[in-house]
Amino acid sequence: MIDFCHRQSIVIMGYSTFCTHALLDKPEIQQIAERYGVSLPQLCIRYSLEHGVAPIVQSLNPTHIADNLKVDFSITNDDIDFLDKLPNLKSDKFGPSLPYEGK
Amino acid sequence: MDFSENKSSELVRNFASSIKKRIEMKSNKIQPLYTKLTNGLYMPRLCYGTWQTPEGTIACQAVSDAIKAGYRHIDTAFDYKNEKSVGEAIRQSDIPREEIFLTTKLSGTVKTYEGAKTAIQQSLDNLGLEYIDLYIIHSPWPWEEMGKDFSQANVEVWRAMEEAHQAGKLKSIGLSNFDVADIQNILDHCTIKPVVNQSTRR
Repeated sequence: MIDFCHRQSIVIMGYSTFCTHALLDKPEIQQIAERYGVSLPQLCIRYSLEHGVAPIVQSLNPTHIADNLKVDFSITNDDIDFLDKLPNLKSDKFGPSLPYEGK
Repeated sequence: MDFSENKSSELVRNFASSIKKRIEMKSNKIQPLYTKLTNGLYMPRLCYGTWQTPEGTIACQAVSDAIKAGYRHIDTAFDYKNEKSVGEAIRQSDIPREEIFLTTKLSGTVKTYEGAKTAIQQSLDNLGLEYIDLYIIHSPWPWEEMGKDFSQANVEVWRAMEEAHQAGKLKSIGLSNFDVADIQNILDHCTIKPVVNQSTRR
């Protein structure tokens, strides 16, 4: 679907683009975030942007609302490849609209 | 011999495609804040979502906080039942209306031309706004009938959205939760192409 939309120049807006609960179990992803000095949600948001997806982020916490905008960094190609190769972390269709909040 | 030549040309193709992907990614970085839609309008890439945010003070405060923090794209839906508060926060903000990009969605339960016309006006009334920046069909089917074929109905609904677009009420129109066949159905029958598909798959 993503490739099809790209071919048709239809922009993908992503909700639940990355399941934080699944991510929290993965220390290697936490390490990547630490390397960039960002939170997991920030890493997820940037990852979506790097893939040309327009992410929808959600939080009621004013600090997190502001933090989720601070994604002006670049993920290296190696790290993108690593994240791409992770098993699909597709979350429950009705799950929380992550990435958001650090928990 | 033939086999190895095929193999090497395949490698070259893969390599070229991966380089192309990287170049496209780099060019995305040049415009990190906005994505140009096929209708020529610019959509802020990072969007603040309001799913499950209760109507009233909570939704109004959350959207105000988001706008103050710098978000310029707010996403809601008729089915979120908070359009009134989202609209209120946008109207009360110090940011000019034209600098804010508001997305809302036609309920997946509305699958007729007349129903869609009524629902578009209902959302405009709820929001208290003159126009909606991006209006999308929430799902190709009502959630309780997920997977059922509503192709013809979606084409009718799309026609109502095209007319509201031409009337200036909807600046852009798009889809959500549509799969390839559902999108192709709209492409085959539309006058105005969808600019967006909102999806959960990464």
